[in-house]
Amino acid sequence: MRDYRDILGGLSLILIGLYAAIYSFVLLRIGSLSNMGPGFAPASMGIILVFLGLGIMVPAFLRAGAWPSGDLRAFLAVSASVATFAILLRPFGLIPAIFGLTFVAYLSDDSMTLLGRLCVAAGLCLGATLIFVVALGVQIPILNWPW
Amino acid sequence: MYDSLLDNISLGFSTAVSAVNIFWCFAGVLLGTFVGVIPGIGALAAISMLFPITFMLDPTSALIMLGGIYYGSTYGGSTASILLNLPGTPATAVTCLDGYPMAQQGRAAVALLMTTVASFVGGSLGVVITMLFAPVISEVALKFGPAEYFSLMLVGLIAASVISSGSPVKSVAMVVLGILFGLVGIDIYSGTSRFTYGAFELIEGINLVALAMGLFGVAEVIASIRRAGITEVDKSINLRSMLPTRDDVRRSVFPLLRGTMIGSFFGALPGTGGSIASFMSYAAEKKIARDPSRFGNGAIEGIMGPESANNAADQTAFIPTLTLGIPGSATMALMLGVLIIHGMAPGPTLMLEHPDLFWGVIMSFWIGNLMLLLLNIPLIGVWVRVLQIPFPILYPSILMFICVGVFTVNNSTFDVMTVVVFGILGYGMRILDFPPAPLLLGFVLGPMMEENFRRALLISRGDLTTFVERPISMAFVLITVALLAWSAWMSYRSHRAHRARTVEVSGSPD
Repeated sequence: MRDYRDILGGLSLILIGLYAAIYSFVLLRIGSLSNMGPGFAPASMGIILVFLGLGIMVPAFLRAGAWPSGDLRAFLAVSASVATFAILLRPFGLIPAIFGLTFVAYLSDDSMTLLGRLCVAAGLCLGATLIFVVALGVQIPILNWPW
Repeated sequence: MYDSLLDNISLGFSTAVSAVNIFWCFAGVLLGTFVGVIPGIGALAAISMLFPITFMLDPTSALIMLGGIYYGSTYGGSTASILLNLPGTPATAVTCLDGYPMAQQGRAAVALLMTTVASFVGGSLGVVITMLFAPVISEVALKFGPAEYFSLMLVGLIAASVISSGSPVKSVAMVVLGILFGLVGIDIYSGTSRFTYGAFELIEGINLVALAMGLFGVAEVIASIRRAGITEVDKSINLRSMLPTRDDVRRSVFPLLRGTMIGSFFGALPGTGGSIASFMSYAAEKKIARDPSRFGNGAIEGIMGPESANNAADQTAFIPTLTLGIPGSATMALMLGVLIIHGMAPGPTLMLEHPDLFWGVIMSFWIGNLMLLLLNIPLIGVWVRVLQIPFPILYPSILMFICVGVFTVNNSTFDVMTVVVFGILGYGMRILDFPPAPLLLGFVLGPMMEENFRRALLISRGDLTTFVERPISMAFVLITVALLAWSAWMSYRSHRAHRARTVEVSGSPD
């Protein structure tokens, strides 16, 4: 009988807090109240976070709860699609990056046909070029060939 | 002070009615209604997506447009609440309770019209209240020193955490985590880099837009992908079916006014906003109703109160943002970001140094609210159709806007990768039931709090009593303590009630 969701959440906060506090104590000057160094705020926030994490984790051991559940496939596909855009944009330009983004994002569900996906990607390329490059004058190469 | 109010109003009006500003106001409210109607993307995601576009505008037009998105989304949010029982935005969640039953009784059109009217009245009165109170507050705020600023921000953050619906400990934890993210970058006093790991992109700190888009945009898209498409929507909505009965009108007047009062109050408090205001208004209407059993079964009071409250709150939320430089909500934090990026110091001097911006933005709210009224009544049929756009077409577009948008802020693909990181964090937080809004609030306020805390203690030579010796600061500290005590007592009580229930259940012979 344990609330694993809050145990996990509390534990993550404790680890982040510890990390921030240790980083500040080791690498930054803490200083004193009348003359605070750069480490004062992050160290104190880290310590407070450890206590808040404990406050979330400890009661969770005493009550029932569900395992955290999420949509792993959508999570991976969407994160990867944004990362794909970031990787393709500089070397290849806007249009390949948008095609990459769209097709990787569609790995999350099967509801669209290949033609549908192509249409959406093409539409987005046209829209992005018109809005950002033509209308707003953003400096992005539309199509690039790095070699 | 009020002799100049008329001058200011006319200055603001002349700024707001320039063709450029009317255009951006219209674009803002139209887009705001659109994203408000679609469940899953709210004003915050829309504002962070369009944030980069505002760099090309002058700051007045930028705030006018983003403001339009903000209150426009609250107008649109009620449409999804009423027709689908799915809140378009969090502030309109409570509208589902009586709006959806009205739709099931075939009175969807009446509910849609009346919520538009409620939004308009609440919004307009909220603007009046903002016009009257903002100058007073900014006058008082001119006397604030670093101790007052620190204490005020502390009240705001604590209020935002304990009044919200979820666990207060989790909200406070997210505020603290947000402050930590806010501290990344160079320390202005000593020139030391903190948590930058040698990445020169991090020296100026984590990009606010990338953080907001990851936490709200990307995480929201991931969570919404499996949502089933909407196929059947009531086609019978037309102008004739919108007409309310005389009884509807009679029942609506007082909830409307009470909702506006409640909304204006909670909107102006730093840390609270439309969602809390609409819940408070619903609770109040139910409490004073002669027949509370009508609520939940299509009582028109149950939509009029909350809808006027959340729109009034949207307007008065600009009071602390523009007069004190303290954002009351995550959305307001982004608005503040616009000012900072344009090199303006938000705070009590803003109104004196840039009166055309301040009053122009406020007066544009009038125009925006009027546009929304005119836009919504004939176009309700169109907004109903918008609900039928399949999400698989929509979500790559949202992702594209996020990516290109965040890239254009600094022409940096590093920032796009930052979106990925905060998207992962945001989705993890969603799974573990941590609220993202306090994190953004902490992120924006964190560096300001550190600066004021340090300055206050530098002045007092390390004496912490400076925060309670100055009367205004002491008042803020006392409110903070009271809020914390109240929240601890409430959670103790609910814990005991929960335990009593468990004992009862396990003790019963089953």
